[in-house]
Order: sequence, then structure tokens, then C-alpha cells
Amino acid sequence: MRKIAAIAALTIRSAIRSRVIAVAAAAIIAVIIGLPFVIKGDGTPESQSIIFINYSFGLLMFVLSLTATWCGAGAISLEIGERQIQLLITKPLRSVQIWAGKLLGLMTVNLVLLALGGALISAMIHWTLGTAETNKTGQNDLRRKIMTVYRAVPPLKASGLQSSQAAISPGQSFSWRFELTKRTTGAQFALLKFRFIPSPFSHQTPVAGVWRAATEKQADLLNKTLSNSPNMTVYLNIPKIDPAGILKLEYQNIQTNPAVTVFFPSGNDLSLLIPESSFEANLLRGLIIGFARLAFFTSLGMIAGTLFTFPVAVFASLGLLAMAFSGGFVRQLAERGLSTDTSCEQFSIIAFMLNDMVRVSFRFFAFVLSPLERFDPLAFLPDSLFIPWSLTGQSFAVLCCLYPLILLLIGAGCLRRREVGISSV
Amino acid sequence: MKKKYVFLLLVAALFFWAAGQTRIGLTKTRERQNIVLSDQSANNPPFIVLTTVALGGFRGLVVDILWMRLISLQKEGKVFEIAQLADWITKLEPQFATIWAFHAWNMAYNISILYSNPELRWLWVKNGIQLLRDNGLKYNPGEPILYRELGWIYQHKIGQSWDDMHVYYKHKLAKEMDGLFRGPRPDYAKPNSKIQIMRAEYKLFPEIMRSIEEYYGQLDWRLPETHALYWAYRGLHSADAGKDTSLCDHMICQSMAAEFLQGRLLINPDAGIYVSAPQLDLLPGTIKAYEDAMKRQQMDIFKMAYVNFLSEAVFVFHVYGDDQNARKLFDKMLSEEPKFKAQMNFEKYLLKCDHFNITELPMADAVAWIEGLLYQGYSNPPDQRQQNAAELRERALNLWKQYAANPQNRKSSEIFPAFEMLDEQAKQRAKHK
Amino acid sequence: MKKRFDRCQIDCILHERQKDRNPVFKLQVNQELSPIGPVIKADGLTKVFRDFWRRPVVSAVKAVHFEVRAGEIFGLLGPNGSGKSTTLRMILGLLKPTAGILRVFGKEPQDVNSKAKIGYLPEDSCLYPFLTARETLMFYGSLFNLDSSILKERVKQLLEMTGLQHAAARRIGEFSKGMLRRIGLAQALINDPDLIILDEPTSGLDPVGCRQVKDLILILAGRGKTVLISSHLLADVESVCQRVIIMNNGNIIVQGRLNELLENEAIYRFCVPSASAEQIQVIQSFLRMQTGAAPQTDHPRKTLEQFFLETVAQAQPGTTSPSGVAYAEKVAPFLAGEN
Repeated sequence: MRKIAAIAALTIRSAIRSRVIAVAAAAIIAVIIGLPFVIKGDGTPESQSIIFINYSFGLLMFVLSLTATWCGAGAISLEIGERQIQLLITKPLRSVQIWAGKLLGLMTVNLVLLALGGALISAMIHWTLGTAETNKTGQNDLRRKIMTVYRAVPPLKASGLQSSQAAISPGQSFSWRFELTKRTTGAQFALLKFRFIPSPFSHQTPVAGVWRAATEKQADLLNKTLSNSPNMTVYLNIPKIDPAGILKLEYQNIQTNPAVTVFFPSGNDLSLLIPESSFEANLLRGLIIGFARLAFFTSLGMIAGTLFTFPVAVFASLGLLAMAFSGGFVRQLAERGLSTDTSCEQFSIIAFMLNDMVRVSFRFFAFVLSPLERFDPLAFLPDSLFIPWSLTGQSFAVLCCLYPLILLLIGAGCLRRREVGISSV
Repeated sequence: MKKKYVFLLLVAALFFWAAGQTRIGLTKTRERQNIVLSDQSANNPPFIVLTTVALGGFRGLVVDILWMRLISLQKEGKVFEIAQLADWITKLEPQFATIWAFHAWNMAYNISILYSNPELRWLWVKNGIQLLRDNGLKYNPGEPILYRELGWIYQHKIGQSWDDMHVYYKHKLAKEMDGLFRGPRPDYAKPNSKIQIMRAEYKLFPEIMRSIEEYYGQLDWRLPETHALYWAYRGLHSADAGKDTSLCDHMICQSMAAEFLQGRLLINPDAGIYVSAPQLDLLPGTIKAYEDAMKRQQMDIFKMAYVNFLSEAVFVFHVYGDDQNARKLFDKMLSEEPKFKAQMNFEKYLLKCDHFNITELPMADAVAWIEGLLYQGYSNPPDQRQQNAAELRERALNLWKQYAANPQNRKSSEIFPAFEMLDEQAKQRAKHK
Repeated sequence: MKKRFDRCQIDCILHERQKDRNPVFKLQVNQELSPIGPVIKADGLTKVFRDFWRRPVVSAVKAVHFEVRAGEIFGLLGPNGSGKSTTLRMILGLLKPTAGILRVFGKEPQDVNSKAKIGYLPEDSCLYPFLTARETLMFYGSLFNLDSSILKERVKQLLEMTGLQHAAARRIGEFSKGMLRRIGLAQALINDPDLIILDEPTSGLDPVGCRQVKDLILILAGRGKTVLISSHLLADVESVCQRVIIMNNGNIIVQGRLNELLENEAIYRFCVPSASAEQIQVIQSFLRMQTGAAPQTDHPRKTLEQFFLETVAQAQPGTTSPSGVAYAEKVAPFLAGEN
């Protein structure tokens, strides 16, 4: 461990003295502080805040992913190129120790930069909310929406179907049940989040309906008649739900003239949001997931650096990074291939073969990169959704431990087999 | 060694050939979609030049990614980012007019209706307008499509009654214009301090507004149709050589026809009153618009539209008691469309008009009819009236009651003015005759 | 300076050993020097460099056989492109042999435990330019699991020995070539290795520094360490090495003890410390009579190195060199076995 720590310390020193940390930190500061002056929402403070969270965290991860990959690519390839590795290899060190030390050092650098970015984001959000042009009630409302994160409680599954899927004809009702544990009760309020699609689809004006909610002990928790626009996510306030138990939620479609059927298509379109935590704590969990992602990208860079010279390693690892950022695109390629226009006969044979090759090749990448899609803090943070500790732990286990461990073993094996004494390689 | 080079050369040649084959199709698509960068790119500001030139081939890829994100967010109902994404997409493809048109329409139409709060809806309609007016036209000053799209938002989204909050939009627009002009139009002789705001924020140039009014007649700038006319007029006169301006001409004709039929405004936002009635003085301007369009465009559709307008104008003048002008217009209509001569004469036409079922008419025509009858009662000398004032009033009231009782033929968002309001309107018109 | 040996004295010592020519003694000497077998053993060692398509391009080392015994100072010589650097790299585990057997301390060169006993000074500076001298030694020392107090003491001693204590806080990137060789030597000795591999150890050093290095090598060998030197400076190799191999075009063309290779056994030389001209004449006559050949008489010359060192030593002492490198007068105690 001492040897690994020594190499880690060396890597950190290298990052500091080569000014990588300074440049990356400057970029992060410039981006996060300058962002509120550049982005434009729909003109409301809420949208400005949500967009800021989305873009600032996204840009932070983008900058750090680039930095991590770049530094990872250089960590070993530059040492091979400048022959420092020749001296290192002659010491009683295993390749695994060299690799692990480098990775540990780079991850420490990532941690520092991530912490800086996180602190700045938190500070800027407070500033954005503080300078929003609203009255006190508006401020409170804004803070409730932005600075509180909610745990999404989905409805209980009915037999055979996704329970929140429902098609409700005019005059009909539909009920959902939510299981509320002690952990999810007791909050001062809850929010019902819903979105529906109308039938006929062309009906775009508001649709009238009655929402009712009750528990065993609270018979008339909610009884509200609303007219809501289709396709729009709506948040409805429900007063304090206590004690734990089953919450029954009923929607009655009273849109009869014109008659419109209301359809809740998927699990994401209806859920109960219980205040769970603060924005800062959620951001911390998001940063932990971000840290895990950076561990993966650093390892990717290091693998490339072990196999290739620095310029080639950077090119290869940035290519992999681009694929990682376009996860949905990779998945699409794996499922459908290039989907070239086969109607043109001139291309049909070539396109057909190319399509199959692409599909098969990208299946592997889609499988490997699937955790990145699953463990994405941006799927939670802008919507003020609670990031569970279990998800944080899983992402850490997979992206920070499992993947880097696999890459470490491969990388160390490659380094061990590589003849670093050939100075031209 | 030589074999290796020969092999590599063959492989390279194969790839070049394959790339060339792909390029043929792509070039044809580019020409069809007219997405080749024009010379105007040299005049764009540095940011636009940077993104369009420096990004090179990746620009299209970035636009695709942003667009896919936009569609995905919109499907999920998460619209906060839409304005930002639309801004970036349009700036990355500044010379691609269809993109500007699409995003402006998307914001003004698709995003706005997601909100039930009228303030937020109006915000998104304005976002659509601003995208075109402030940026789209700046980077494509000679693209008539964009002028027409901008005019369409005014004419259709605000001016017509498809949107259930159209009355709110109309009030908001009228209030904004009233804040600038303190009345229906600016005082061109004595421009006020708001002129800078007119130019900078609304891109309303007094010199152009004046020339429009001098050519077509006095207009009420609190009306959305007037703004549609303004932008279509600018599109017509700013279009690059070779561009199709027929849509601008079409919009000018439609706007003038709407101004003729609804260009007289009675508004009281606090009381929620917004009543528009025919502005008969705009007939010559409207005729001019159609005749200019027919001359410029040489398309049958303009002639058909002109004939339709004339038939409607005949009805309007008749219900306002001006059969003399009605006859002139009828003769004009026949001269444009001789085949009608065999089917109809003037008296028969008037008789038909008198027996229209008011509940089947659009609200503008119904209002014109009712107000026209009331106006006749107030304005024409007794010897020129077809009926006496009391009979006219009673007839107007019956028509009003028929129309008010039958809401099926008008949209739920349309507010049918009260009879007393129409009566007052007619009285004022007769007074200022 | 006290531990410098005159060339004359070295010759006498070597002659003494040679004179004995007692195989038993020699055997005893050998056994004493290398009780556990050769430190480095190469048997049919071959290295062929191949291109991307695995076709042989260069045959750098062609089935060489040699041994380096414990406690000896071994020289690896040859012109450019002879394969000596390749051989060194294979010994260090930086390259893998294509064929043959290569053992270091009885194990494969890549073995980690063997590497703990090796110190390596590369020809080019392979140090980290952003580290200071002290940090460099601390870093490399920490890779040997040394106790931190021992490590700190060794770093201090090495910096003093190499005369870099005034430059301890300067970054390696700012060092001159001579300073780089010194710090490189220091890092090679941080772990008190049993096998020290020096590639051009005196390159870039001034004569005083060269002498220091050579003295150090002798001390290390005297403590039973094995030193393997590769150098183009033949005078330096000659003055310290006991056995050498000379490579050319991937083959070993000569190997053996230096004295045996260089000595001309047909001629004897006598050194007479002080005698008058008459006494010299008497001796010359006697030899003429006995051998029938006229003996050649001259005065032995100092080497230029000796002269230089004496001259410099007489210069004003205690002056700090402008480069900050002050010459130490003693070897680091831990290397001299004084701990």
C-alpha cells in the first residue's frame, strides 16, 4: 500500500505542478459562474434555476470527464514516452501497483475538482434564488420547488399491468393506491405529479377532472376539480399525510363536452412526491455518482495510455468518451444499426452489410456503457428527485470499483507484457 | 513491401469511391433543402461565424443532438429548456430558414398550449415572436418565409380564435401598443419618446408604418392583423432576388381583408371588452392589395381569393345600407369571374344575402350584419332607408338573439359582443360618418 | 581524497594477486566473492526486434553467454549498435529475451524480489523534472519499503555525498547534466543494492566527480556488491573493472579478466621508489647481463586525472561551487557499511 500511496502522491504532485488542476479549476469556475448570464429559460426564475442546475452539473461533468480521460491517457503513455517508466519498472513494483497508484492519484485530483464544482453550484443556486424577482411567497414557493428534493413513490402495481397506466373515458373514474411507509409520511405536504395524453390527440385545450385522495384515517385529504392542459407535467399539493398506510387516489374524468378520454401512459406520468431531503444533500449524492463515473473515464484513459502513444491514446479515449456521452445513440445503433436508406438500390447491399456490422459491434459497447445511462445524476437533480443511497452505492460499486478493477487488471497485464525498453514505442 | 503499398492504395481507393457515392446523394439533398451557406455568412457576428465555420461538419451533428434533446424534453412535458435549445439550434444553422420557422412555431403553438396560466402562455407566444423578429430576420433579412411566419403568429395565433386564450393575447397586444402610441397609431408628425422602444424592441419602424398606411389606408396598430400586414409588407420588399414572395402577398391580402371586415376596434381591457367591426374605408386599400398581388404573382389562387373577398364586401356594404357601392363591387366581381353572370344578378344576390341564416355565418360577418342594420338606422336619411329605424333595430336584435342562442357555430373562445355594445358602436360610426 | 589509490599501488596489488597464481587461493577468492552463484547469468541470450507483422528486423543480441559474479566489478563494452544497451535492458527487465536464459539473482529479471536488490543508473535522465532532488530520493526510496527515519537519513547522506545538499529543494528539471548524473546515482543507491548497474556513470562529470564515482564503485565492490558498468569512457572502465566483455554486432567477441586481456606477460616492470643514477645504472647492467636485452628505463607518469585532482585539491578549500554542488569528501556511511 505504501508503494501505491507513493505513486499516487507522485501523480498528484505532477497534476499540481503541471498546472492541470489550476487550468481545470479555472475552467470550472468560469463555466459555473458565467452560466447564469448566458442561459435563457422561459423567463421564469424557476426555469432559470432548473436549467442552471442541469447545465452546470452537465458542464462540470463534461469538463471533468475530458480532464480525467486526458490525464488518464497521459499518466502512463507520457511516462513511457519520456522513459521515466524505465526507471520505475526497475524498482520492486508490480504493474498492478503502478496502475493502482496512478489511478488513485488521478481520482484524488478528480475528487478535489468535483468538490470545487459542487460547492460553486450550490453557491450559485442560492444566489440565483436570492436574486429572483419575486415576492416573499414567490420566494418560498421557489425554494420549495428547487431546494427541496422529493422521493417519487410510484403507485402499487395492479395485476397484469403497470398500475399507473390508465385510460379514463369521460364520466369514468380510476383509482391508484400508494403505499406509504413511516419514512415517507410525516412531511408537511406531498406533491402529486401527473401528466396525461388526451384522446383525440388533437384536443389540446384543458381537460376537466376531479382529483380525490384519502387514507384510512384521513377521509378527505384532497378533493379538487381542475382543468389541466394535456402533455404538461402538473404538480398538485396534497396536505400532510400521516400516519403510514395506503393512500387511495382517484381521478374522475368530467370532460364531457367535448368528450375527451384521458390516458396516463407510463410509470413516470403519475407519482407521489414526498419531500425527502435537501438540494445540497442530493447534490452530494449526485457528486458521488459523478465521482464514480470519473473513475471509469480515468481508467479508460489509462488503458488507452498503456496501449498507445499519448496522441493516439487521447484520440482513442476521447472517442470512447464520446460514445459514453451519447449512450442513447449507442443503444440505438445496437438495436437498429445505421438504418440507412435501403430504398436506394445502389446502396442496398453495402448498407445491409454495414448495418449488420454496426449493430453487432455496438451491442458490446451498449452493454458496457449501460450503467452510465442508469447512473446519471442528471436524471434526478434538475427535477428535484431524490437520489437514493442505494443507487449511489450501486454506481460506486460498478463504476468506481468493478469497472476500474477490470480495467486495472487488463491494463496492468498489458503494461507487464509491454517492452517499455523500446524507446520508440 | 511493394505489394503492401499496392494493397493499401487499393483499399484507400475503395474508400474514396464509397465516400464519393455517399456524397452524391447528400449534395442532392442539400440542394433540395437549400441548406448551402450563403454569402451572407460573412456578415454575421463573430459568435455565429465561429459556430458555423469553426465547427465545420460537426455543426450538423451538434444541431441534431440538440434537436433530439428538444423533442425528447417536449414529449416529457419538460419545457423549461426549450427556449435555450431553440436559440442554440437556430444560431448553429442561421441560414436555414425552415429551422427558424419551425422553432418559432413550436414555441408559439405547441409549448404555449401546455400551460393553463394565460401569463405563461403569452410568454411562450412572445418567445416565438422574439425568436423570429429579433434573431431570425437579423440573420436572414432577405428570407420572405420568415416574415410570413412571423406574420402568421400575429394573424392566426393571436388574430383568430383557435386558441382559447386568444382574447387575452389580443388584450395584451393592444395594451402593449397602446403603451407605445397612446392610441391606435403613432403620430408620425410628432414622434414620442417611445420611438426608440418601437425600433429596438418591437422592430416597428415608423417610416415603414407610415408608408403602409399611406398606401393601404389608416390602420389600427392595436390589431394583430395590422402587425401581420406589416411583416408581410416588409417581407415582400426585403426579399432577395429570386425568392418566392407569394406567401407574403397572400398574407397582405388576407390581412387587408381582415382589416376591412374587423378593422374598427372597440376595446376596454379592464372590462374585458374587445369588439371589432368592419372598417369600410379600407376597401380601396384592400382592392389594391389583391390587384397588386394578382399582377405580381400571376397565380389563379389570388384571383379566387379576390372574388371571394368581393362577394363578402358586397354583403357588408349591403347590410350597411350602401347598395351603390355594393353594386360596383358586384360588377367588379363579375368582371373578374364572368361565369357568375349566368348564375346570379345583383338583386338576386342581395336577396340571398338577406336570407342568410346568421347562425351559419362566422362571427365577424354576423357582427357586421347586426351592426350594419343598426348603423343604417342611425345614419341613412329616412328616404334612403329600406326600413325605418325601429324595424331595423328590431331586425338587428332578432338576429343578435338568434346568433347568441346558437353557440355551436362559433368557437367557445369567441366572445360575442353584447347588443348594447354593437348599438353603441353603430351610433359612433354614424356620428363620425 | 584519502581513499584514492595510486595507479602504481593498484598495479602492485594486482600483481601480488597474480603472482600467487594459486588455483586454490583463486578458488577460495572466487568462493568468498560469490558463494551463492553468479548474480547475472546469461545462457544463449538472444534478442530479435520484430516489426508490427512479427517479421524480424534487427538481431540485436545473438546467443551470448556470460556471467557476472557477486562482488565483482564487471564492464560491458562495445561500439554503438553492438547490443550492450539491449543486453542491459534485458537484465533490467525492460525488454524480454527472444530466446535463451537470463537469470538475475537466480530468478527472472521481472521478479519483484530481485529488483529490490538492484540499483540502476540509466544513461539518460529518466527522473521526474517536476520533483526536487529530495523529493526524488524520497519517492524512489519509498518504493523499497524502507523505514521512514532510515529513508530520511539515507536521503540526507546521499545528498551530502553527491554534493547536492544545497540544491536539494531545486527541481530536477533545472539541473545541469552533471547534477543529473549525481542525483541519478543517488537514486540508484538509495536501497543499498547488491547489484548496481551503471550506464555511463561518469558521463558529464568533471574529473573530481569521476574520481568520486570510481572510488565509490571500489568501496561498494569491497563490501561485496556487484557492479555492472557500461561505458564508452574506457579509461574509467579500465581503472575500476575486474572483468569485461566486449560486444560487437550482437556477439561477445572478447570476455575475461581485464589484467589478462591487457597484460603483456612478456614484459615485466619494476618500480623503484627512490634510487640514484648510479644505482639505476647498476640495475640496468645486471638486467642486461641476465636477460641479454637492454632494459628500458623511464619515470612513471602520473595520470592526468591524478594531476588534476592534486591541483584542484590545492585550490582554496571551502568555496561553494556556483552551481550549488559542493564536493563531499566521504562516501555515505550506509554505503560504506558504517551504519
